Amino acid sequence: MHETALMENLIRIAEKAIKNHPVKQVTAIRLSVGKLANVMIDALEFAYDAYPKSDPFKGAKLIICETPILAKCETCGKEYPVKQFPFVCPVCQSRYYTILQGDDIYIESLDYET
Amino acid sequence: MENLKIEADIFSLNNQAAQKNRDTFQQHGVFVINIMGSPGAGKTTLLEHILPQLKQSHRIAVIEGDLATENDACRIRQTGVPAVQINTGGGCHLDATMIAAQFSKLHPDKLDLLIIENVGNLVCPISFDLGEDLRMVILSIPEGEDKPLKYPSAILGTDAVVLTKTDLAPFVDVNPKTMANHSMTIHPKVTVLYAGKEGNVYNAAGVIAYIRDKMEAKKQSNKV
Repeated sequence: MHETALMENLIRIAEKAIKNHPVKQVTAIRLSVGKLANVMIDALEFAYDAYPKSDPFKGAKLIICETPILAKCETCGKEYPVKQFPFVCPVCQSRYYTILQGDDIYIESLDYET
Repeated sequence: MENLKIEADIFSLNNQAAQKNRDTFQQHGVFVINIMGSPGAGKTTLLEHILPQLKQSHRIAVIEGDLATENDACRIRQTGVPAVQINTGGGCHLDATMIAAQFSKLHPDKLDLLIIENVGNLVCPISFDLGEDLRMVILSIPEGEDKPLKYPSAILGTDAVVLTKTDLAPFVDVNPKTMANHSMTIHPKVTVLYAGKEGNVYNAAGVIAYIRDKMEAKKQSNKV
């Protein structure tokens, strides 16, 4: 349950990003959350709503898009989507893989009014 | 309405701090291990048993993380190894800046090995890079055979799994081999080690040998 710490980071990164832009009001923050990122989306949304936000961020909506897990087989090179553990290559059945996508939480962009 | 691309990892602030730690550790020639696991898995007990041997060959310090009390740091100091305690209040994990704040207090120039015992939690600490060289996840046998399957990201995010309290296996109906196999199902490259009492002696020889190997391997790769 470190969703509050994540929200603090989210706001700090967003504050830094808007510094050199004429932002009057942020209306939405777009967040992409990997399925393997160790967070619950409900808890993230709750933490976001509860987090005290300063002026340009007050009332900004949090739009979360869940990213599926994508793995690359280390044996045959096949890239394949993963739904659940254990990860097995659909082509060669190898269990050796690297995660390409779905293990991070990414702030994509924000919408704002000038 | 305007749109501003940010494209930043939400962990980027911690990751930047972790990279700074990594550079600092490298400068001082300190090998760093991040030990994670559930509350009660036997993390501190394992340290109490490996430190007396490791300290014969290496200069060691320990950072202990807990919500409250200095109990674990006190236990570590009993072994003759210096320890500092971080109390997170309610925080479920240690982050890279907390480690940076403690590291300077530990006489970095007189140190070969820093062991960080994270807050007891099998979920959150995994996401926070501290700048460590090696990660170890401690699972105790009584936690159940399927623990690795139930906490896959912990297994996936570690270099080694240490199965502790092996002596309790017959009493809790858990087969340590099955637990090891489950770990390798999730993470085929993970190293599985064992620790527990054999008679009256706590045996963690495999863990000590593994740590020494990894430290030596890093030393060799630094020379190249």
